[in-house]
Amino acid sequence: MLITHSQDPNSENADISDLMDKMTAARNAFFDRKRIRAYEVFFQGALAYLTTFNEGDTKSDFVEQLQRQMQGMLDLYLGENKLQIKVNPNSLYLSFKDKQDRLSRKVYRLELLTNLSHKLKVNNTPETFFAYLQEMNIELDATAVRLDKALAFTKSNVEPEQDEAAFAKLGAKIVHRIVSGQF
Amino acid sequence: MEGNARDRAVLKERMIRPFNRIYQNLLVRVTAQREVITTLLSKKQSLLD
Repeated sequence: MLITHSQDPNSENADISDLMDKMTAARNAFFDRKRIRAYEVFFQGALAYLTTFNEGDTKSDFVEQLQRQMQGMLDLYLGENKLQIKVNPNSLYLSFKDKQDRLSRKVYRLELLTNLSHKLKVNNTPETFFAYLQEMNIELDATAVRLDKALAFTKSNVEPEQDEAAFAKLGAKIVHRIVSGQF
Repeated sequence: MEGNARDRAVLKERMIRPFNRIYQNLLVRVTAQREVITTLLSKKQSLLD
């Protein structure tokens, strides 16, 4: 049976569709995890606020009841989304990144080979061509060293995003409004 | 004062973050090109030996 290019599992089309699948999986897992974590932190912030609200000798029944109900809602929500929490978006992202890098390397190799085939036509002798290659090799080595340094600098200056505190604050704020009768 | 320092840190990070991705992509490119050049040069060497 004749296998066309698009059906061949080793073709670039197959590579790209695999890449797209990996990207979609990583994106969905990332948003699901982020959403669930945001809910979790929101409720935790609200519960923490209620705990401080009820500190002291006289406890409010209303606040305790509210706390129990909110804890129940949080447990129910986390129970319903147990499967999504188990999926680690980071490992999915790394597998996507690995696939993307491999595909990019293929493209860059082809691009360079095309350029070199043109250079081969322009250069009269193999010596000049290989001298060109040697020079390029030295330049690429220097560029790689510079890029390593640049990456080390950016990595040491970039912190992972911290927006969880904002969700906790939001939870506390909304509960504050509820218990103080602003809603 | 503390707020200003935090704002500056956030601004710095926002400016640096995109460069991290650009450098990573460039490194992939340079690595691929080095592979090609090294292969060609070693092939030439093995032909001469």
